[in-house]
Amino acid sequence: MNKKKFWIVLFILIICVIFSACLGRYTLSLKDIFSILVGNHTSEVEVNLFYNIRLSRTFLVVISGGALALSGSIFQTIFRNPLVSPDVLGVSSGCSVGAVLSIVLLGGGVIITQSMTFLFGVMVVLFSIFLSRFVKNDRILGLVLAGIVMGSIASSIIMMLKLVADPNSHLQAIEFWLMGGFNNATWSQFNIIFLPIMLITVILYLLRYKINIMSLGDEEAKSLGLNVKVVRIIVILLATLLVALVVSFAGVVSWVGLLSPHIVKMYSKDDIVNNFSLSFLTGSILLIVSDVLARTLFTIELPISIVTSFIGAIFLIILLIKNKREAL
Amino acid sequence: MIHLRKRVISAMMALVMVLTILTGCANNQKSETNSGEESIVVTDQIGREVKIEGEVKNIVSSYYLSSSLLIALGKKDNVVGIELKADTRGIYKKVAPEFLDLPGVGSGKGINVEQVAKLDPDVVIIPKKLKDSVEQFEQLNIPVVVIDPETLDNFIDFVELMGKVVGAEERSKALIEEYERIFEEVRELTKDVKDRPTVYLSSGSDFLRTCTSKMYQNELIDIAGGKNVSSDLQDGYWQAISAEQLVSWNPEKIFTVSYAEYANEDIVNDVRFKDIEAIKNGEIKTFPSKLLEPWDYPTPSSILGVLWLTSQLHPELYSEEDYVKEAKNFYKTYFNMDVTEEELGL
Amino acid sequence: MSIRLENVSVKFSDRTILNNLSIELLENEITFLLGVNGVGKTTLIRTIMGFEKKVCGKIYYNDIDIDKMTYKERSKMVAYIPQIIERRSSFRALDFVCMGKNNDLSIFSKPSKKDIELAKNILEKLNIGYLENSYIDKISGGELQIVYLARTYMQNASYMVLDEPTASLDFSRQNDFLDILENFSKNYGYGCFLSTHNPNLAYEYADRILMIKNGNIFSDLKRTQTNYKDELKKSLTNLYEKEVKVITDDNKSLFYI
Repeated sequence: MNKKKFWIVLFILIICVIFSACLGRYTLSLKDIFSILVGNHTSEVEVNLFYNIRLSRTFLVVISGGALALSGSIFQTIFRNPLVSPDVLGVSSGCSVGAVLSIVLLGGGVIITQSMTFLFGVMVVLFSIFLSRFVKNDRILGLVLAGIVMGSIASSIIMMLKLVADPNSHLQAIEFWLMGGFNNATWSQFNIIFLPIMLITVILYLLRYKINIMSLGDEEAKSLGLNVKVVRIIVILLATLLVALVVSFAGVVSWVGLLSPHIVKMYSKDDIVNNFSLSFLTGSILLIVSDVLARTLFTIELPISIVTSFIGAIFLIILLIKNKREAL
Repeated sequence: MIHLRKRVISAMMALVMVLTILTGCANNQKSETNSGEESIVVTDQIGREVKIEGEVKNIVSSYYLSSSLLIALGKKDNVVGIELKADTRGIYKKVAPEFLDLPGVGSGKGINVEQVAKLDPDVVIIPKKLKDSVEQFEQLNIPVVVIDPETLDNFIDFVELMGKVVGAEERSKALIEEYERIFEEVRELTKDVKDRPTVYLSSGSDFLRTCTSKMYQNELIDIAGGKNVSSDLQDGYWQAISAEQLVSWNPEKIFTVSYAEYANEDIVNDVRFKDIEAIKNGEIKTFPSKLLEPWDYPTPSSILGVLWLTSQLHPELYSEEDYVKEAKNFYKTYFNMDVTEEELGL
Repeated sequence: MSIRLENVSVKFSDRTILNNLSIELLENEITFLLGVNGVGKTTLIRTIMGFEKKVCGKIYYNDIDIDKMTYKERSKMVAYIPQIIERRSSFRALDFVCMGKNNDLSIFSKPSKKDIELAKNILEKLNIGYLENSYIDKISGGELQIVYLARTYMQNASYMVLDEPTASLDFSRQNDFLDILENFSKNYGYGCFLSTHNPNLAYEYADRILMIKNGNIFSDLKRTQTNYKDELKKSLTNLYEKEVKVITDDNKSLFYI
């Protein structure tokens, strides 16, 4: 692993975190932050703002971005396809069904929504895995097809629920959830997902060599002694959990899982073994930048998927231009 | 030859007689319909000319606002069909419990035209959202009036329109005059007020979502002598904000709508908000009326919201006692019901 | 170490690709498989490796039924070198070679420093030490082939199966690779089984030649047998259904049609 790249990326992340701490609808200067951290800041409001609103949100975004990006890298490696996102098996769609069900039928309370979101996300993926068994010869194809099927089913369910939803209150909540946002970030949210995400990340880190071998294709991987079926299921489930955890708190955050691995490839050619931490950190940076934009551009809070989609489109264009140049 | 002529003349006379009798009957029928019954033509709120013939005895109201208004216009006994989820309306339970037994025919999503036709209505009231079903009603020759009472001005027009449609023009005029009187009075009271408390009004779905300058809520706060912290938000309707935006605004008073899906308690206990002035001083209240009908957007009795808010923001100009008196009076006059202070948001 | 197929048949819907084959491949032999395109060379290779699902009959590595072994156990006995394709993943050659150590690592482990040294070593021994830090999607097909050999070395198996290893190589490189393969086989004790289109390469390097036609292995010739050349000519004629002649010069023979 290129140590130099790691430190550079980490440094960029820290800069972004500092920016995120300073910027916002309530501006805090670097001096303010310093005095807050040191403990002799005069304005209690600002201290509270910094710790309980800014910092909690920043940390939540950092860990969410990393989780989504890592999941994306892993999915792209396992599926041997750079166009795959974690939602290929329907985790985000499934989470959406859970959330919309909760909002429309169960009152939309925070805890219920989060639980339903998480549950349904995982359930849909399990269903996809189960369905994929019907395609005998090509497991990857089976998974993709199953994911498409489950995704469609999820969309239909969401559409039906929208019909029943109260246009005055539910629909708005649903639309906002489907576009994602961190404006309700609190320390308690961070505390809940921090450990699971870190734990899963560590396990995936330990599995990175196996994941790498999986990207050679089923047969070659088997010939090297890898129990492909088992490893694939474990890795897919873990990567799915990462996404489900983030989505249950922040709603659907699009593009980070798909785009982040490509950004990493732009500056580091390596495989996931060597790029593991870079994948995570790049996602964090991407999402932090998006979140800062989402909450500072206008007085109102922009749903984060709007920003990530926009950034995603720009990067895609850059990538296309780059590829065209290389091909020529 | 003479026989033939005679026959022809007889036949023709017979024919003329038959025709005369037939037209005579027809004419008689027409005149029977015409005599004693009037038809009116109104322009509904999407600009359609609607002709309503005869007395309006059966009314189908598929929207909460019109159903509630019909109570105020004294026509609740003529309602034969009502909107869905009628059991969530406190005001029905109190003063028009029979509404709860009526067939539910519509919601914000759609209306069941056949079900409505079965009720043999003389007029059907539908909201603008459902205007696509107008054609179906017209095909069945059922007069349908489309309403759009979402802003303050539209609401007043709506009241006037409904008065015409159901033959309760006097009452609707009186109601409108009452609204206008109260608005004027409050405007006079607060127009020179120097110290306008900053106010934050949160939406039903999410505490960190508030109204924009376009909305009725913004004007409501202004008339009542407050300053809406989100008044410079121009686009759209309810908009989301970040927690720190709220801290930055630092409102002195916070009001949550009566149909909020979160509890005021949770807001008070949320550590992120503890430094906001309104929270520190315990100035977070629910905008009434949870038990009757919401007053934060135009409803038949929402004018009381203006009074309530004024008494909250400027008790020195308009006391709570005065408010209670006026509110109780209003409900007695127009809804014929007695209300408690709790129902009045206190 | 031997690979034994017993009454192995592979049928796809209506076609029978392999018809009741029974053969044994031995550790100390380089065995070539000749056959016309589409006749089942690849299927046979996939069957030997245990990749084919619809197999009737049994396959044994060292007298153990492969269905009773884990992939790990199998990989310690038989290694696989797939056909070189254009679209490849991007790995450093050294990392790629270290993947061969997978069959010796538990689920959470990574190659040790010793393993990495070993990998560097074998790359040197195969004269591609300079490729250590190159990315495998940027090197030539021929170089990649040898990198695969290095990976096979790391597997510490005793047999390797190669799918058309010379198919994508230049005419001039084909012999080079097979020379290297021959040396590798001798030095590190690997039996080889490889498929090819080219009977002349088979003649030059094989210890044993199998020919497959209509789902059957109709010819099994050993270099050491008498009349090797003639028998080969006859079998080739049968295989290609055209008369195959042979010309000899400088102790080298060339088969042609």
